[in-house]
Amino acid sequence: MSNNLNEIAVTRDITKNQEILEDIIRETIDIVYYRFKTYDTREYLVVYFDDIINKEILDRDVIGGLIANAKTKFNNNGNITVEYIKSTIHFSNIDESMEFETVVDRLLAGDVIIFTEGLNVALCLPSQGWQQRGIIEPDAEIITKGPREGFVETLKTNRSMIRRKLKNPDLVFESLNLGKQSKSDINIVYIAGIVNETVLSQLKKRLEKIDIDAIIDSGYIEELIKDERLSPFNTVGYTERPDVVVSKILEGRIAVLCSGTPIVLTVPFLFVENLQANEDYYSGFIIASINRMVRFTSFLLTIFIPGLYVAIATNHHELIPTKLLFSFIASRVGVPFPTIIEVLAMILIFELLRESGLRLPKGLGQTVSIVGALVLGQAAVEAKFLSAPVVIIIALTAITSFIFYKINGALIIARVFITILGAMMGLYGVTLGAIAIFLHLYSIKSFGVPYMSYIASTEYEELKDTVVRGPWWKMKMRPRIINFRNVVRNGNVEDK
Amino acid sequence: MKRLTFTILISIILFTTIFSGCWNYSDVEEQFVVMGIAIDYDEKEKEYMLYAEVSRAKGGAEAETITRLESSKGTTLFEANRNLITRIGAKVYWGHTMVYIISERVAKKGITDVVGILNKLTQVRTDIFIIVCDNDSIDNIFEFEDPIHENVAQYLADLMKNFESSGKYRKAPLFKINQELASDEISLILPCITMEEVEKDDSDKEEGSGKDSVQKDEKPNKIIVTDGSCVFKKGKMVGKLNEEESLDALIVKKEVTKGYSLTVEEDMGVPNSSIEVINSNVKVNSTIDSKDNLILRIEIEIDADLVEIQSEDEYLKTEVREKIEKRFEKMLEEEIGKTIKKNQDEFKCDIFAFAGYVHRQQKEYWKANSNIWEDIYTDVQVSIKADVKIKSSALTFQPLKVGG
Repeated sequence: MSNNLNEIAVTRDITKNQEILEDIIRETIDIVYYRFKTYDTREYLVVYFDDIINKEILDRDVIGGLIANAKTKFNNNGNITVEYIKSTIHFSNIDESMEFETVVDRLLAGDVIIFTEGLNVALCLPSQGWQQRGIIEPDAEIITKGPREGFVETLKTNRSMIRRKLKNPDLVFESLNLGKQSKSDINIVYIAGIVNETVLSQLKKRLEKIDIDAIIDSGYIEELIKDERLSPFNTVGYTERPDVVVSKILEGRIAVLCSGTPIVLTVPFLFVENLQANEDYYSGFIIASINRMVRFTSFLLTIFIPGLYVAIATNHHELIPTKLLFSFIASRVGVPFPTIIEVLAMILIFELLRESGLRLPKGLGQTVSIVGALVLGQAAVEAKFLSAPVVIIIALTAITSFIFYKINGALIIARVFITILGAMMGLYGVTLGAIAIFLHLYSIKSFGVPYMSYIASTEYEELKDTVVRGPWWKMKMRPRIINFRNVVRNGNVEDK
Repeated sequence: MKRLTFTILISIILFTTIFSGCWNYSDVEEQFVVMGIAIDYDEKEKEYMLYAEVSRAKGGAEAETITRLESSKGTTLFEANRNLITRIGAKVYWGHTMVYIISERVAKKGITDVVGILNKLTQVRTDIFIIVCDNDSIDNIFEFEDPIHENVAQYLADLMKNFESSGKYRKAPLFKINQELASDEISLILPCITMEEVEKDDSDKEEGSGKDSVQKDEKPNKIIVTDGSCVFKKGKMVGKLNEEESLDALIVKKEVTKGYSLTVEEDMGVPNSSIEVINSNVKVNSTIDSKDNLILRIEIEIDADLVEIQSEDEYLKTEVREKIEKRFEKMLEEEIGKTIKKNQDEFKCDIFAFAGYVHRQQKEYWKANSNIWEDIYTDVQVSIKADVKIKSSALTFQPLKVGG
């Protein structure tokens, strides 16, 4: 049925129109066909989905307008026109449609459709209205200094948050529908003139290729448009914060908004963005730089600590200071498993704890932490199932991994990989593993932009926003690798 | 090109630090760490005796260690090392060995064998301390019980680390000994230790406390004390310097430069007094006189704190201070002169590395005479000039006032 929708035109007979619609849209309780006659005997058919429109606007401004004007301005010359109806309805952006394809799409998206007896044009009134979650600070991206608002599930509200921050005629929202069944609204946001055109056309091409049933969350898109699909590292960024999105599109990136989710995607995404946090730019550059360095250290620690421990404790006893060696031995005496098994088991236990704690109702979460801390932490060491250094090592790994929860998957794989290599070949293995991981990182790209851009740069200008966050008066250029046309971000060039 | 050089440089640093050493999997608790090793030689059996102090941590929250003493014999040291397995039940781990003690017997026989094997064993660290012990104490050197340290090796390692404040013995890690053994321009000296019964040592320092005498009744309480230095010539021990002579030698060798103390007895109108050296510098100048004789001039400059003076006078007055300085200068010149003379006459050993100075300063003379350096050294005229400057008087300027 839906295949040849575009061939069906709106007729002048509203009864026929209703029949066609009833034919296309299956019988469901939430659709309303409201037929009424005004005083001037014109007959209208108003069709809408009851739950996704603003009923108040419909009753007061649309139907009220039609009825009231029929009484006061009696127009009896017989010819009804679209202009006449538009002049009676208190509504701003009325669209006209003559095909049922558009009509059905608009109806499903929450428009009110008005058919008029004698007119082969349907009027589409975008009067969506539904309950939406309030704008709150996103739980996953809490900051101490900076704006508190976060995206919600409604596209319009999300767009408004971006537009409010960028009063710029070049700010462009482009719309497209994805998902064969869901017809989800997707918006692409960028600043014309700053955006990298190659990335933009690449993104559009990849989005158009998507042919999936439904886009329920932007995660679907993320996985479908990502380069290096098998890489555990993320080459598409995401955030719930409008301020982050705005700063990203100001650097020439493109944001992808998706209706029904507060998660907004940004491309291209570079590795260095894992180290950055929006708060870096709101607090002073000194504390921001310290935080950056802490994060960078954490990244190395969370991958390498278990591997280094295993390597040194099993292959390089001479590298351990004598007193530390004795304390290692003291904790290991009586433990039945080899160090590598201990460490892998502890990594597994930590992941179990993390996963079970994540989705538990709040009341049960406490149970998990008690069981985890007491039973696994203390009792396991006392019962000589695990040695204390391993618990410390994994605790340190866990703490540092939370800083990079967005790439947790990649970190787990890298960690286990390094740990096993460390047990097999000692520091030699750790080094080989590190080389392998970095080779991989340096080989992947995000929308044509090398993933590790800036991290290994030897150019002063490019290093200003990596492991340190340079002061604003020094960061005059936008990242050149993403955006190469309009590069000056801070025009106030000071003399040296 | 720049990037390539950078990459290569980083790789070299990385690979040499990380890829060196051997790797094989073993858990830490499988290691029987030998903390200290003592070597003796049995002349009759023609066998090396090896005394080992093996430590293992007890299991538990605290890192307590259990120490076991064991000995073994072998024609070679390596055999003796492996024979330890039959006594201990496992191959001992040398990666954390701190001290390597050699008996005087072995030292007289020649240390090239026993030091050589340290360089060959893969696990041994190059900062392991080498110490000479007298023949009577070597077999029970590890039986010394020090309540402060967990084992004797740690006590000795601490002793070595703090050598500079004492100045009376030398710190001799393996890498330094390797260098000195190989060099033609210096003779090796090694620190000496011995075991002493406590009472002898205490009698003149402390006024016999009751507790000590009670302990004496239970068992003879022997402690390890330093005993000057051994002088080696071509890898063989030829004699010993006492503690004061060791200090003199180490000052001239510039091995102790700060922190040590010097003491003079009452003379030249100066009472008993001690200075703490802030910094000492030694210059050795070699000149050739008209008769083609080598003359060595040693200049010792010392900046010091006057820490203790057994007098109630105002010692910071310029005249008094100069007097004290003079007294110290005289003491240094005499003592060091005697020590050098002893080396020249008795041992014929250039432990001060004078050869190096001559080599650098008188190149032609050295070229012509390097093969007969030993003869030249024994006869060379050495003049010593000490220059002591008292810079301050520790914390207070004034002597303690004693009222009526």
